[in-house]
Amino acid sequence: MRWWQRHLAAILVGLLVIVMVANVLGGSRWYLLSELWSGTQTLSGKVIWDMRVPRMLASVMVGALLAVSGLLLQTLSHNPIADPSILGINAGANLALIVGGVAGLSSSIFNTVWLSITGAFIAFVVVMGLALSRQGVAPLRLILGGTVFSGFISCISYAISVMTNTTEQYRNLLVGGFSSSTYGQDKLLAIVLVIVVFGVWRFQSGFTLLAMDQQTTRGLGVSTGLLWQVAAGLIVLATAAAVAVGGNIGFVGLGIPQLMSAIRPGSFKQNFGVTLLAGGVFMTTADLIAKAAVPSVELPMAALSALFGGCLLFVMVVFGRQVVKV
Amino acid sequence: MTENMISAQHLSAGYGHHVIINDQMIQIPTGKITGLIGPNGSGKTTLFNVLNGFEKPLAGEVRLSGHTVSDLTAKQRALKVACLCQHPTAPDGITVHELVGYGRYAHHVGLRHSKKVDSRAIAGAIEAVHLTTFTNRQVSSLSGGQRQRAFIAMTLAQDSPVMMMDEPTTYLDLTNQLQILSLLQELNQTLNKTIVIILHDLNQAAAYCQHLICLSGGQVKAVGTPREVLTQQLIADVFQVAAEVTYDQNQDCPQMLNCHPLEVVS
Repeated sequence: MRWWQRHLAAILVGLLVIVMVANVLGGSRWYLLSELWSGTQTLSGKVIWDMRVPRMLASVMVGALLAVSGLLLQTLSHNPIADPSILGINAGANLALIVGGVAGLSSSIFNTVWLSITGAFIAFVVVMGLALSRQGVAPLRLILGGTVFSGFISCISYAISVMTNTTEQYRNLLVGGFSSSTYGQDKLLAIVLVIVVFGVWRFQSGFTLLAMDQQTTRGLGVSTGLLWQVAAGLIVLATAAAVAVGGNIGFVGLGIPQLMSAIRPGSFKQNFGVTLLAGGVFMTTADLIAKAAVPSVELPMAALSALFGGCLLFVMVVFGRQVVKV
Repeated sequence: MTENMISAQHLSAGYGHHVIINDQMIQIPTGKITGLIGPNGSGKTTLFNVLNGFEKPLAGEVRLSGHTVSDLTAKQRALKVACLCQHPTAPDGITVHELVGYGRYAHHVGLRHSKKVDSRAIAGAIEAVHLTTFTNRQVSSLSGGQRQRAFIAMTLAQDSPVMMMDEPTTYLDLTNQLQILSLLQELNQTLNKTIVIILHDLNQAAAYCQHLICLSGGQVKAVGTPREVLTQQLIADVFQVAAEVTYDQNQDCPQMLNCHPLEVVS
């Protein structure tokens, strides 16, 4: 093992701190480091503490949640290409939020949470139902069914918002982004993050064993049914919370776990921590690019993330990693 | 009379409405190596999967040292029967030590477990399969035979009285096949494990198993010592193969010679 593989977690923590600070300072206007301590009385202090800090926190946590739910989904389905966005789980949460909004529900945090959880859950059940065969989850059916279903749902989301003239209102949901993040949303994300991390930690040995073939896993005494339910619950919760705050951001769940296992191959237990951190680093960096790359224009996060994910998928295919296990 | 570790009466097994094993009596003697033999499609794997509790029998019940197997939880079952399937796969990037440690899963209650007991069991299992010098090597860097031994160590670390293996020698060369079988013999003798293996090579089954169960078309065709089971007649009836059967000096290990198929299937 190289030194950077051994100290990967420490390196990621360092990176995370750097990008968190950079994210707060950067934007349409860059602040100086010293202005962080200027207090909330001044204008720059207000902007920093009331807008940029909650936004930065949201991006860190959404990135971590999406990366972890991708890792869980890949472990469950025995498929490195599985991702909540590819399987339509993001899109389901998204559609539910838009339908709820159009139907006149106020966009309180409570409403967004239950709406997105319901949407994500229904989408998850539908896609898993499509993928189930007598031998368990068929990987190819999962990916194909999920992709088609995801596209279908996204179309409905767009259609509804176009027909009701609400594309501007739901811009954040449709293209993803953190420009309107609040401390309330951060609190929600923090609660979900704690639940997800605790759940994964509690069942980590089981999840680690799921990476082996089904027969071996069962032989070792893993009750796969229980683990499936726990993992499904955590995936839906993590994805729903991420979508409720950050909108429909794809490919993080695909790319980050892939990247980590390429840098340092290992079991679920070994990769969980670094995947969590790397998700946060990636999303915070992407958010900084989204708000600072082009002055006074907010780049769509979904596009940025897809750009990165698309490139990664391309590299994976070109360099011959086995993308779909059949 | 020998004691039976696993027994089942009027056992039927299959998938859905498709009955493969129909109303059979099965007994696995304690402390012996039992071989399941039979042609392809004779129901060996189906039987294997009900005996180890992976599948529920369609009728009858499998009793394992006083318990009904299908009533046990996954962990309780794993404490009694360790199971190795045909093509076990391990995640990338894990070491032999970690892989063998997976065998301890069934011993963990909630988050409580003794690290000391675990590491002793892991080290003991690795030593038993003669992989001590490879403890910290990546599983993916091992040869086929070594990898199979690492998986056997994993099932050993499970510390269960019964070990079941589905064709543990497939895809290995002759040296490694014999090494694996000798290893199982060693584990049977030194650790007093009851071992059930599915084997295709009848000569190996005769040499390494003390008890054979021969299946054909979902029926038990013969049970007993290799000498009792592997007769010219049975080999002709069940496998459609003509063979000369010779015996070693002790007259208890039959070996098949000059085998050729009885009918040529077009």
